[in-house]
Amino acid sequence: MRATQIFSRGLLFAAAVALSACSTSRTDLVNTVSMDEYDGESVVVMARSYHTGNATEKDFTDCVASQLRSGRNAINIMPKAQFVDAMYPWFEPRTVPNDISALPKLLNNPMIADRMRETGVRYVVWLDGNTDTPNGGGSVSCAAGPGGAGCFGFAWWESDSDYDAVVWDLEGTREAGNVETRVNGTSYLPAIIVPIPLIARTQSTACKDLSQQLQTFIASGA
Amino acid sequence: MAGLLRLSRLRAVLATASVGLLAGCGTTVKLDNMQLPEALVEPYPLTAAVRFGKDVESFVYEETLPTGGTYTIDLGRASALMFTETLDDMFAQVVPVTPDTLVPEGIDLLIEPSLVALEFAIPAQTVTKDYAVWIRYQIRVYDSEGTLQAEYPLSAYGKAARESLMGGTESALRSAASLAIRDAAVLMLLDFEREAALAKNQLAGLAVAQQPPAPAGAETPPKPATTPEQAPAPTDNAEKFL
Repeated sequence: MRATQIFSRGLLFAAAVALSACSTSRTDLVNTVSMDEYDGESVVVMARSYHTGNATEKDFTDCVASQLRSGRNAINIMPKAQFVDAMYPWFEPRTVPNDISALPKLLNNPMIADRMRETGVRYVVWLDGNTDTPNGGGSVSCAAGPGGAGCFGFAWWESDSDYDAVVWDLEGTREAGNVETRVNGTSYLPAIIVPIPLIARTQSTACKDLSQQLQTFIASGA
Repeated sequence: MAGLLRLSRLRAVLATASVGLLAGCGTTVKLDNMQLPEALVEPYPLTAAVRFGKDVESFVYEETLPTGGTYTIDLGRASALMFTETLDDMFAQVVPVTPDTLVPEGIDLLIEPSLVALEFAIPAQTVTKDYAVWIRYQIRVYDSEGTLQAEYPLSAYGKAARESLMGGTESALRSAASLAIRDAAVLMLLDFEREAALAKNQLAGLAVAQQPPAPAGAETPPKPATTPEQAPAPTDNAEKFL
């Protein structure tokens, strides 16, 4: 009896491992210049404008900001809305500089440059990219009746989280570095009476990997 | 007999519930408030009157989509508040006037915005998670004599994603509409000179007229004349505004 129990539990565990959502990730730091020592200056995390076709999710931007302000290398993050309001109307979706080359001209306006100094923001992290589900298949059907309810079937889908973060140094009006991360994963939803979601959290992994690299880069200049 | 009565009551309850569910398919968003930050722009040293044209002070848009669902976007006074705050940032003094008022005494310009059209798109149409709102205004600029000096369209756009799979429709549509109105404010602030090219000459003339006379011998080079046809086409970044 005991051996049967151990066997069935082992079988269940093996099935869970075999079916568990898997993902692969790759994060690269490229195109860096030597950074000044981080001295508690403020950093603002922003998504590239939707006027340029970018579709970075708000929850991803929030996640990166939240990760950057926590942990051993915590960075002083200024909320995006606060920065955008302070710089109004120069960091709106329509007016935000798309390229570092536009920054000197913007900061040439004394009114804008003074306000920028007042905010205490030294670095702007621009996020680009999004999470897609390029492939998927299968189906799960659920039904309910007087005797009970249940689901049956199997569904799966792939997720690609592809993000790019560019760090602008406002003091040097230069692009300081660029971090890219790509996480792929496949999620499964087997259902035998009860659906068991095995979700590949690619966006969450991308957020953690990207933030960790950015934090190291800004806080320690490496 | 009692069984039949119970059955008919059950049917009545089910019918009421169905009507309730169907009624719940409508989405209504209302913008009660519109607050904008103070703009980092140098105001023109002019007194402008503002007279709200069609639909600026109260606007409700309703559309039933072919795919189902009725959407109502009530902008209320959001456009009027946006123009009031924006013109306050743009001009040294702003005088609001009622729709039936002609050009009042002592003003340099009269600006009359009207709301011409609103359109929106839902995720099923954009094939993304996004709701999008477009608002088109028409801006008329009159001089102190009441002569129409310039007229141009102002097309604003806002986009916001639904935050959860099962809900957040109203919140996303409201955000998209708010962003569109804020975008209109940005265009008003930064495109006014170029779009109202005829008014630019007048603005320059009026500004010069209000400045103290230049000392003898100092000459100001003449500004090149700009016509609406010569005005550069808008692009989507800050450079064009600087």
